[in-house]
Amino acid sequence: MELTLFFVGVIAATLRVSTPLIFGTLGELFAERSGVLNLGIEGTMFLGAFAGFAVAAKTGSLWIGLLGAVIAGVLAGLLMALLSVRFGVNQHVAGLGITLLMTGISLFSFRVIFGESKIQPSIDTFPVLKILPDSSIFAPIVNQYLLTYIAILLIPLVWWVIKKSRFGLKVRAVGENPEAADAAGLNVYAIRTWALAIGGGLMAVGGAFLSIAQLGSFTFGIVAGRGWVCIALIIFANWNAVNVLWGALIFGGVQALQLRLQTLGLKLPYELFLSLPYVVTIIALTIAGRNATAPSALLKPYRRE
Amino acid sequence: MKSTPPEKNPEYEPVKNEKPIPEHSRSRSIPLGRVGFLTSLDRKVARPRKYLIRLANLLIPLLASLLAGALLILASGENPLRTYANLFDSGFACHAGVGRCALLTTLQFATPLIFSGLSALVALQGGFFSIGQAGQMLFGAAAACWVGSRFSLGAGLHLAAALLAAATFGALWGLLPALLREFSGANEIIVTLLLNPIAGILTGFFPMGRVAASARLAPLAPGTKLTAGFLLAIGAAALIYIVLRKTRFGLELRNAAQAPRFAQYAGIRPHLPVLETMLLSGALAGLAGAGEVAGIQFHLIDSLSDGLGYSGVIVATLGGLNSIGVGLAAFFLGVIDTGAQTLSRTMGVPVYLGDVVQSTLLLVTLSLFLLQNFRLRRVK
Repeated sequence: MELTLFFVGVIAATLRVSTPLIFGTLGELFAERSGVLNLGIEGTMFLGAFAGFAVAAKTGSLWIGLLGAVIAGVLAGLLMALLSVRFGVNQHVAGLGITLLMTGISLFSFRVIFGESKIQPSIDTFPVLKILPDSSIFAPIVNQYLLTYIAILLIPLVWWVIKKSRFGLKVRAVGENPEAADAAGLNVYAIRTWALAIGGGLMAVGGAFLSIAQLGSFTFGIVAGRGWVCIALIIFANWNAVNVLWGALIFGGVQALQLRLQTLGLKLPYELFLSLPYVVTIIALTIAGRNATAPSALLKPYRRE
Repeated sequence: MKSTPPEKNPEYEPVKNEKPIPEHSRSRSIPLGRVGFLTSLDRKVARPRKYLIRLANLLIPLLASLLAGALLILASGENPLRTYANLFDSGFACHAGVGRCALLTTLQFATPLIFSGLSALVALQGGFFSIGQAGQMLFGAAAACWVGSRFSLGAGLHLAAALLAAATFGALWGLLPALLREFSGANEIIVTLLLNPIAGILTGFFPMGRVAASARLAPLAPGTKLTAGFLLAIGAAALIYIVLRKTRFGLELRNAAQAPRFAQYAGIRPHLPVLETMLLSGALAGLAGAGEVAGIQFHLIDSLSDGLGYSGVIVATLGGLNSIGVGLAAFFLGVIDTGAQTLSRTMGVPVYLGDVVQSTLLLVTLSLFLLQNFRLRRVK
């Protein structure tokens, strides 16, 4: 019984921890499949967390807050597109610049809107869905936030969009061989811009999940490197939407387990667990090396001659 | 992930023209798609004189970033002009009396920026797109803290040992991604990015204490945190300038980065220049960390590299990829940092104004560089 409770707790926490990672990674997937490495992800998630919280706090509606986060994320994606697609600026420097800019704007606006009070402003969060009654032993697993369910449902949807839809075909085409795509009559710039905009929106939802579903507040360390975890997960997932689920669940699971064991008073070098996704990714990169199935045009700005 | 061989990588390379084109019409075009608002750039502009371009390169990003900042200041309900006057006053001003010279604080903030900027500069010149300065810095800081707190040596020797340890650990942490790229083809941008959080975790295991007095960098002026580290940074900048421009090593490094095949025919061993590049780059970043620990904090704090993490790339880019530029860019970012801190204390303008101004500066500078070499054209 004790053991069952323990595992139920871990699985429930795993799903919660994985949710923002799934959103972020799927967002990055769109960007990278179109040939753009968006290192603005960390800042975009941060912006999403801020915009979601601020709009929800001011309008009193969590859904409008979520919409605000999506709009902010799309704008961040469009800015990245302007720089890295239209102007052809180095993708990694532009991405880092966007992360710095979005973090700065979010923190600045947060101070302006909410002042510098000692008490952390907070809002009522999205409630968890009541699918099973609380008496049921599996209630913690099944009764999750709606956004968690949306994240999981998004995975087959994104897989379908990228692998089967016309738009996905175009995204993959400009990510693999922009010259050929251009010759075939596709507008490389427009498709990459769309991919970055969609990606930005998804990343921002991942950030907003933290502020308006999980925590109900906005803090300096709210994203805490989750964007970089997403960059790692995408390589781990080999640029495939379905594998994103496994990657996010494994990482979420390790973190959830680690938190649980800590509360039980077990002394573990849990920091080592935290470094797991990064280490695994670097090993994967090292083994796969030049043979990895990254989109061929990743990191290469396209210029029409 | 595929690693791009340097000769194919279009980044950080001068634009080459296939055939000689008269100087005044040197430009290529980027079709802009349907972006109506950019059509005003759709003119072929005769190239004005070079110094005008240089001036514009400095002024336009500066104005744009100040404008972006002004919007934020307006939003916070202050007068932008007065705020900026205060910002630059508190970044440059130097009044008599202990702790009243803001210029010294600016130089203090500039010190780690110079080191990390040089670190990024060396890496970029060697054709290695490293964004791992934050991790190398943390390793340097941890090593300096370890040696500074766990050993006892004579005054001068102790400090030298701490700095040497910092440079060594930083260099080794910088060598790792170089080895991974050279011998397995792992993309260096991603690897260096991911090595940063790992460094944060690993450095937590260093046995740590408070840096002993014998291993501290002496302050240059009483009552300030500007230490001898600043002089080291200036020395490092001069040294890197000479190494990159005047030595055989610098030539080999740039050759290997820009023309690998030529370098091979010229008898330069493959891989070696990249490994040396990253050892040097890592050592410089390690010294940035040591300067903070041995000069200012005296113990290792987790947030050491928070604000400085990716500044190296920013400083190197703003500095136009040369050592003197790195020094100037670091100084300027130091002014913004100091000014923003003072403003938040005195006027209540959030300190993050500095981040916004700096990042806008970076993004506009980058775009401008591209726009000069490629002409924008509207496509149907």
